[in-house]
Amino acid sequence: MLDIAGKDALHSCRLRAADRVIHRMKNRLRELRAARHWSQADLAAQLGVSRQTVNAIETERYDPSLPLAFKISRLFDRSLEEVFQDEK
Amino acid sequence: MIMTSSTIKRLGWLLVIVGAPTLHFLVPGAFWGRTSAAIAAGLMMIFFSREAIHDERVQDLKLKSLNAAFSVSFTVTLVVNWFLNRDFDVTRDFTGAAETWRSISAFDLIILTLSSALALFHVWRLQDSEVPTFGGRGTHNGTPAVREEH
Repeated sequence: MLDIAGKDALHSCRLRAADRVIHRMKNRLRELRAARHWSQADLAAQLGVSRQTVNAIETERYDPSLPLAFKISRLFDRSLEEVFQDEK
Repeated sequence: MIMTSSTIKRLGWLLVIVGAPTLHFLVPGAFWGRTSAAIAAGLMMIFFSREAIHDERVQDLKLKSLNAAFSVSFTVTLVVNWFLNRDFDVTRDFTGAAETWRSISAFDLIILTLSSALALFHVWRLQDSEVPTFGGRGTHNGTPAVREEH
């Protein structure tokens, strides 16, 4: 049986392990883009990034930096939370 | 004269594909040290020059690929060095010995690292450009599409 200190240590160990897992955000970029009938290339040109970067964000392989995330949300007239959702 | 990034990249490829073989096969007194230095310089020009659209994802992928490639090439170096010497005792006293502890050169390590990093970078970039298709509806060239919810 673990005492309270032991349980605390185990819990903090688990937290550290969880932090190591790569965390990806969910986003509605594809949906918002489709609503405006923009291609990935159109959106990329407006954001000043490549089409591959837009695709990587849409497929949630890449989380954009804060400046780019703000740029995206401003472009779609949405708040940051409306475009990007934290799954935690 | 300011060289553009694409010029630097082209010069790098020229150095690797034409310059290094010329140095090795056509210039007298060829030795691998000189050739490997030319290849390493060319690879550095290719890898560290800016892309046509040098955005944050490109920077992220370049850093990630370099990180992974260094681990791979360092492991390869350790394995190769072990096969060359059958031990890792670099502190051994070689005074008067017929043989010294042998290792692949720093240029070889740079070539290994940068060629693996370039390969990884382009594979990941290719994966980034693949647009998923949902239910057979084409999304080629990034045309708008949304996942069909049933």
